[in-house]
Amino acid sequence: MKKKEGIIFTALLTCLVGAALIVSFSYNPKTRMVPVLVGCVSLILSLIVFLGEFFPQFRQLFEVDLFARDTIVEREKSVGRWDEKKGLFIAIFWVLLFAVLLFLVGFNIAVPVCVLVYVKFFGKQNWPVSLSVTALIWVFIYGLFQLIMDYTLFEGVLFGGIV
Amino acid sequence: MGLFEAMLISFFKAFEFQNLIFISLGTVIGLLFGCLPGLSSVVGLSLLLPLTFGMEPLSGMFLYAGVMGANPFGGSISAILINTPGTAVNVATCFDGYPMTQRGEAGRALGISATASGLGAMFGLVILIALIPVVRQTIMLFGPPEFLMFILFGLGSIVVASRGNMIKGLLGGGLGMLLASVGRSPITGSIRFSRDIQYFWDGIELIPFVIGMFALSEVINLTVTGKTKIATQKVETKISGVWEGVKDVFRHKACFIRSSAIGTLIGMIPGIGGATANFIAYTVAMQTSKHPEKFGTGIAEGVVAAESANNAKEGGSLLPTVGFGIPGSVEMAVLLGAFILHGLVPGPLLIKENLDIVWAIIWGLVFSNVLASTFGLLAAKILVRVSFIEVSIIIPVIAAISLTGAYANRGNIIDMLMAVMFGFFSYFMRRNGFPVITLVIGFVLGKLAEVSFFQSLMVSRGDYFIFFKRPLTVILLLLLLAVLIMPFVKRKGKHKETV
Amino acid sequence: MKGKKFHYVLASVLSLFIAMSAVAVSDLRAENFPEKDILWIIPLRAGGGYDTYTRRIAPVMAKYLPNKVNVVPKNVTGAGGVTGVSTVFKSKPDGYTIGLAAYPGLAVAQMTMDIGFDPGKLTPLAQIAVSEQALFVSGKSKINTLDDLKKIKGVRLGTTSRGASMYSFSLVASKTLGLDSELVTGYGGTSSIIPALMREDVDGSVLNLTQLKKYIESGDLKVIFTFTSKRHELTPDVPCVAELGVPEATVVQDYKMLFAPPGMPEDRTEILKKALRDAFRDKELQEWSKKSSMPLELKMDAEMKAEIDKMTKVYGKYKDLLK
Repeated sequence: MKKKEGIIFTALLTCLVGAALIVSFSYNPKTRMVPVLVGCVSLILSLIVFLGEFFPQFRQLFEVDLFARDTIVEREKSVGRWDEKKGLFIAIFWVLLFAVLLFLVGFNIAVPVCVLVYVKFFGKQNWPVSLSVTALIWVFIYGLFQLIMDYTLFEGVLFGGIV
Repeated sequence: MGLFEAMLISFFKAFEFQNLIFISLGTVIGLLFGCLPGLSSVVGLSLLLPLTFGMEPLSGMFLYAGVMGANPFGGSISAILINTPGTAVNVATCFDGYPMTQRGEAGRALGISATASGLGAMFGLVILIALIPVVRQTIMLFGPPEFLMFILFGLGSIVVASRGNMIKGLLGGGLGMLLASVGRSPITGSIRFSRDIQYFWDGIELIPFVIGMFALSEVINLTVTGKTKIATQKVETKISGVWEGVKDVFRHKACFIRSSAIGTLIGMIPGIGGATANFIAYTVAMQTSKHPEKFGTGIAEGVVAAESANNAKEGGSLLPTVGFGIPGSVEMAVLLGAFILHGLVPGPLLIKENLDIVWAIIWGLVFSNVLASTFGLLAAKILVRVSFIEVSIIIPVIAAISLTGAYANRGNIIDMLMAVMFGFFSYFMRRNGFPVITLVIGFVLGKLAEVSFFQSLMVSRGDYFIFFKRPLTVILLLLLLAVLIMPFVKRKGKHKETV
Repeated sequence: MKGKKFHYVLASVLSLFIAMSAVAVSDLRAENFPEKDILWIIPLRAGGGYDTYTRRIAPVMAKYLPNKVNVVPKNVTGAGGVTGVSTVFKSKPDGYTIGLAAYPGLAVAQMTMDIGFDPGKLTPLAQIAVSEQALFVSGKSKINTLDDLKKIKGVRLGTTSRGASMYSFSLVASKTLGLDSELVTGYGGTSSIIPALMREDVDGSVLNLTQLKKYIESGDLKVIFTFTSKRHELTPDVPCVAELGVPEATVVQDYKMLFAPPGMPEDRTEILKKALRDAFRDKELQEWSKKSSMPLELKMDAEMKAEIDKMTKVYGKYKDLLK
């Protein structure tokens, strides 16, 4: 799973850099100089990384450490409440939910809803704790921004917010 | 007005009841807005402007200085506790501050930050006072070629910061620079990568980027790993943790002085921008340290370097601001606006005509740093508890504040979406072994590098040798090469020893 | 009994209906306008000229509005100043949102890119200030007249990059004055250009005259001519472009214009305009303007439109170069 994910990610990265490079060629010389230069170097590097995912020996060729120690960044292991796959799913789901709600219905609704959902359903805290945390953060954000700063928090696209 | 006269008048004015209130209020606002991501001191200053209408300018200055002085330390609190730089100048603090929290040493990190911030600010102010008589010469020393050397230095640190994973580190740096090139080319004005999307015309906005790369990334990470607390070990939360931090700053005197000097210098150069000071100081500290491999794992030196530099920068950036009317940073630009609102005209004559105002700012910065650092040391014990709170409560709170902050930065809801996007991007980068630091360095320095390079050529009318013709440029270039080569030399030395 | 109850109910419903209608109708009428705070959008960042003018004028304008409300400044930055104006354009035309726009900046943006809306449809309120520009050189420079400038081949003019007002100024100035100029771009703004001039990294620059009063006084910078139709009081010994035979160049000015969204009701527009007129007569505001070297110049209606049209015409000529 880790390997497959690594391949997909580096493949995407390579495509991204490649696309940027191709688009850069359409600009006039001064405009494209930096993106082309950086893009070329980055493309070569990302191809190396991509190949490194397939061929471990290839990867080892390039693992240079300035400080004469072999330290490969260890991915943090899953330690607690659930396994990594579930955690990833929850993370993606909840953050996207938060973003979409904020966009559609604004801060005053999205913040309490999303905080409550996380604390109660993912955090499995009891109702008193969940509700008080939700209330506190909602009051804090509303109080600080709307009242004190006289700032209109985004009302949400559905309620007339301007993008 | 004579130098000492102005100094004393402003000093005693600071103790007037109204002004004491202002300094304190400014400090509180500076701390609060500092630790809340997305709310910058610029917003705080703009908020307070109407309060000071009709008051004598001196009182206004105490208020503003209060905000500006406390802000960097406030930002370090969230950088250390929740891996979210509260302001752009606290990014480097995350690199070692947060790992210290994860080890249960948040108190120590806060102690370091409070001490380094306060002392760093004093350092910057002392240099400021010393250089006021030669402000003109100082400003004229640095032109595009010299800027480029500084920026190359910062970019060179991408190499250093890629330890353990050279290719991925360099690629990260390259990606950062590509991201920085989105939007209008600062030289030609042509829009790159986003002609049809108006949102990107001015490029990717820094604050949402940083919030996503750090705060939201960690929110996602904490959720994925299912950790129950931020700190994985429980270390004693007694005062000794904080005092350990205070002592750390004195243990690493050389690092502190070097970093403060770098911060002051970069602050003094208008146009380089405050976000770079803490990076460059951090990477110099890394390169000159006895234990460079420990940087990023939660080493005291890392926090000392970052926090002394970003406070020293305040004093440095005052120099061109009050000495010549040219803002040394974004906050200073707002300060200049405040001057005008009070009927003062910034420029080369401000010091002559309003020396007491200048001293009011200096004293305001001194007092607010003392207040902020003292608060930090006293409150550390309580603040540290955050790292031991149940994570399922902390995560949604961090996310809510971060997303609000990303929006509040300039009232643009798309900024919030950008932060989310960068949050996922940063998380997957980390998950696949890419260091975030190099990407951030590339992003922050990318545009400046391009501008300095092209401007140098325009100024020299196309003569590439301009980089070798100006004495200061050559000196900086040699220094840059020296510091970059140092780790290799040290390594060779180590090998020779072991052989 | 039943009948009486019915009458009571009918009466209450009717009165409720009448009351609600009255509220609805009064919402449309200007009599109570403004009933809440008015938002004044600044399209550029805090600390700059647009920001400073706004923060000084907004509270004074609020003072002269009919009810006790605030005029709240808000920075909405992005797309080189276009996002802020776009936000005003998209806001409800109920008088509770107004905002500044930079001219000729906005006109140039419209001509050279797809900004997504037609600024011509905005409801004009007033021009609040004109920032007169002048050609600055280093105080020590050997350049003293327009002729000196013309003699230099590839004379380097320091400016911001294309898309910002200063670039348009530098380009139009060069063309109308017949300069063989190289535009050295990439400077962030006036503050970055001042040291460049002093170091003579660049030969000259088109900058805001009144903002740099102190630099002229100190001798760090000097002005060799002004882009005005008559000599400026700050620099009485320096010729203006009209004198030098190039009156077309007087469009090189930065106009700060206040607008409201399209389709504003006439009466609310008038209330806002009246408050502005009164604000500009305010003694304290006038004093501040003199003291801090921030000139105020109020123009409305036909005069304002004339300025906008003139600018659009002249900058339109150089549209292709500005693209």
